[in-house]
Amino acid sequence: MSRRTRPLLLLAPALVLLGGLFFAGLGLGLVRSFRYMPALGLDTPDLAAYAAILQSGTFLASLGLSLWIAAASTVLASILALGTALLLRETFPGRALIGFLVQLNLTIPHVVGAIGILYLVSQSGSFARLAFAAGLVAVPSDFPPLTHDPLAIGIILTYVWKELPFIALILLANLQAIPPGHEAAARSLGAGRWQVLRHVTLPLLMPGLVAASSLVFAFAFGAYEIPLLLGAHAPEALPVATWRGFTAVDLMHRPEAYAMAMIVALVSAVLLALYASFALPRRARP
Amino acid sequence: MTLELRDVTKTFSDDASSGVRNVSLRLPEGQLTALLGPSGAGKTTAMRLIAGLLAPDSGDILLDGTSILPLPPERRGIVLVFQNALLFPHMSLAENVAFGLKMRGLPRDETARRVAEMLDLVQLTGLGSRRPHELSGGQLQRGALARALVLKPRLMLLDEPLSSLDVALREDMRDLIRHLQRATGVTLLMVTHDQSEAVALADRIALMMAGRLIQEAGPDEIFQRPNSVATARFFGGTNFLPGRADKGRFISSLGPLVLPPGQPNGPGVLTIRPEAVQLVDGSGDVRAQVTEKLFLGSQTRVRLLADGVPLTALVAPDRAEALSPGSWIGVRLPTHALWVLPAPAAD
Amino acid sequence: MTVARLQLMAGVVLAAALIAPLVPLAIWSFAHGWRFPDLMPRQYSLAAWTFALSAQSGVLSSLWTTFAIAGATTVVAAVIGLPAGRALGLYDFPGKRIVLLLLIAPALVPAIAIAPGLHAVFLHLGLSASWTGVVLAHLIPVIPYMTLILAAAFARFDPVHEDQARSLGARPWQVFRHITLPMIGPSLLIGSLFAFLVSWSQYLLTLVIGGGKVQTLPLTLYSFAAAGRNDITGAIALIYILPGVVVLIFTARRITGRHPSLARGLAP
Repeated sequence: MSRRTRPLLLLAPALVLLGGLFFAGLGLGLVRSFRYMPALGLDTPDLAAYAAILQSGTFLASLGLSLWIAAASTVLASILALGTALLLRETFPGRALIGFLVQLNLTIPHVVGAIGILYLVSQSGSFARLAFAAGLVAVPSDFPPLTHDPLAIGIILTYVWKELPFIALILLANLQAIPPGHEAAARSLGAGRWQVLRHVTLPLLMPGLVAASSLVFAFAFGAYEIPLLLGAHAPEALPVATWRGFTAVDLMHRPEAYAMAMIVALVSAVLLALYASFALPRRARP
Repeated sequence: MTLELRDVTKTFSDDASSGVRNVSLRLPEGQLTALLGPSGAGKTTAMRLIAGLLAPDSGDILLDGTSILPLPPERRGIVLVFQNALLFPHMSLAENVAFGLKMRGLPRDETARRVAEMLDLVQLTGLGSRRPHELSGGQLQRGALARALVLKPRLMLLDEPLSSLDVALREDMRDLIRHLQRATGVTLLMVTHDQSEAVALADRIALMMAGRLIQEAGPDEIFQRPNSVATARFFGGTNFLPGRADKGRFISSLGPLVLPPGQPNGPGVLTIRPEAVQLVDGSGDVRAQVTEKLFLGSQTRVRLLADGVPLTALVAPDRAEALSPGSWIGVRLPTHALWVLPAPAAD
Repeated sequence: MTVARLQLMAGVVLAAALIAPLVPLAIWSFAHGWRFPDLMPRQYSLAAWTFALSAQSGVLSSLWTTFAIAGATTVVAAVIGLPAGRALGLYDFPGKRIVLLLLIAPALVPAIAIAPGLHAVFLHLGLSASWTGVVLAHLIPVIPYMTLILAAAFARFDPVHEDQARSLGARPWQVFRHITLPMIGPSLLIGSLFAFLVSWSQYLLTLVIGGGKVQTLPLTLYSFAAAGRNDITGAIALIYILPGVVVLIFTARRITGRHPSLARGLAP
């Protein structure tokens, strides 16, 4: 076995499995999005499904909503995660507890978080009851709708709650990898605490932050069960609309669902490129 | 136990420098042979071939007359001790030493007894429960030796056993290896790039360069009577004078010099070790002009030019005191120190 | 205000926010009716727990299904991820960046993008509505995590240890058992933890491939939440997060030292 073929042989099971499932699923979706389904009498590929969804206000609203959810969740979670990571690096009473809670959160399934947020912020949820106790609202409908609402606040809250710890732990690992001398050197050169953060720490954290953020954006853009639980009926988040289109009774609508899936894949591809340019070294180890 | 390499060749497509080509070598039983050569000479490749971690492209490797090529490394009875000791970090010293016995399924009490014995032998008594990171460089190296010796190998291979140690520790380690080899009678093959280490330790020296075995001889012989310019250079030889031997004399641009008996006639290169070159007040064998003088502590190195031929002499510092670049001096090249090498093939 | 007090306050707010969504779940699971605007239930009951733990609710069989699928996914991912991680950690070869990208893509591309196509592929393979099919589908997002974590471990591993063990008389499987496995063990543990959690939390892929025949806990949980049974939902949610908590406590003791254990798996 030569040095060249050996790594490929070792990689073969993983690549065959992922190729046979992931890329087969993606490829088949792509073919069908071009309305190529001989079994249904569609044997000439065309772009009609894409034309149909791109002209449909419902689809564009879904796309816009999902982009808004992903962008808002990513920005909020990233900023708060940065603060959390910087906090966890310090020594203070209760640090171990917070470290544990941050990790604990990572183990909690998204659907549990979504239900928890639902019971917390819905119009009859715990916060609404606190508002009642404070005399701010009289009936549930007085409380601002934070779930099933057009701005998708509940969905965004769920993502921020779930992804903050994820980003924070990545940043913490990056922070701990920064050689201790750098920040001390900047301080001794006359930089203040904020200047050190701005000019030394943040630039060193940037690759990790961008990589983590692109993972979070992709997830918040494409996750299904959270908008299913917390989202409004119209517009629906793109993943919900996609799966509903696919499971619709009228099979002729399926190509449009496939086309929507491909749009999600396209957005992910952009994020993958962003992730790769920051997280994958140009040259691997010699 | 005799190990024999017969015309062994192993080349790498992606690394031309580290292969071995047509190497034939016999290791005498119960002796310490040093496999000496500059880095990239193929020494480590040779070791890995013997240990079974690489398979040769061609040739055969025999142990007591039987080919061991079909045997996997763990069944050859040959233990390779890697550079940097390489104790397994997740095991204590005693667990490390017990490793090979455990793999063979030896009963626990016997394993423990032999491990304790071996730790005593390498002077690590009482340190068995320490982890590798709690041991010094010298202790790690002793542990690695113990881990190999406890298996009573038919042949033990040591890859640069001293190179990771401080200069101060090297001498101790050298003595210990010598002592262990005598105490156990194990046949040893040691890779080193350091000719002084090889000369001080080995019964036999096998010199490798660019994948080929250049010379195999006892330390005295290889030092005093090298078989090529390359060997002589590797052992610190600096004086090379092309010419031809004819009826007991060597004819060159320095005129005829009387050779010791037994030198063949024909074209060759005359060599003399720098410490054998004598500086004399009279005319000597040849007059030379000093071009450079460097005080080295116990010796002074004097570079000379005699009739356009560069010579180097290592002399006692007081002998060189009066000299300075430009001054003339007589040079004696004693007959008993002259040695004729074959003329290098034109290349 | 001093820096120390600011840190403490931020810590308190953070801890409260991290726990907050779990609190109503826990209260609901013991509530016997909990109407607006009551801040706390007027009556408590164990009815939701009794029902959730009874055979008729299907929660325990879902728990077992989820556990078995996550366990099988983790084992298969480890078996496939070990050689792949070794290749990526120890070798440099042409096209390595491409391979890395291909490996990361399934973790980054959301399941919905491939779900329709995957549904059709699994129908063709005759694997839909089966446990095997669900395990295979879960491997898609799991293998990337496992492989990349193990690749980082192998990049820190010097394979000359394996040669040394071989030369000391260890057979190939003994080398793996006594040298390779212990030396990359902590990373394998973290990779397995990630693999287990990713499979454990999976919703859409189970729905798509399981076709209603493979009922894992998130599906059961969702159906009770959608039906508005908040008390039972609360109980199931707590049952659902319990194994993760147990595993976390167990592994935190074994591997962390000072650093959060999961952070090691996330390190670049």
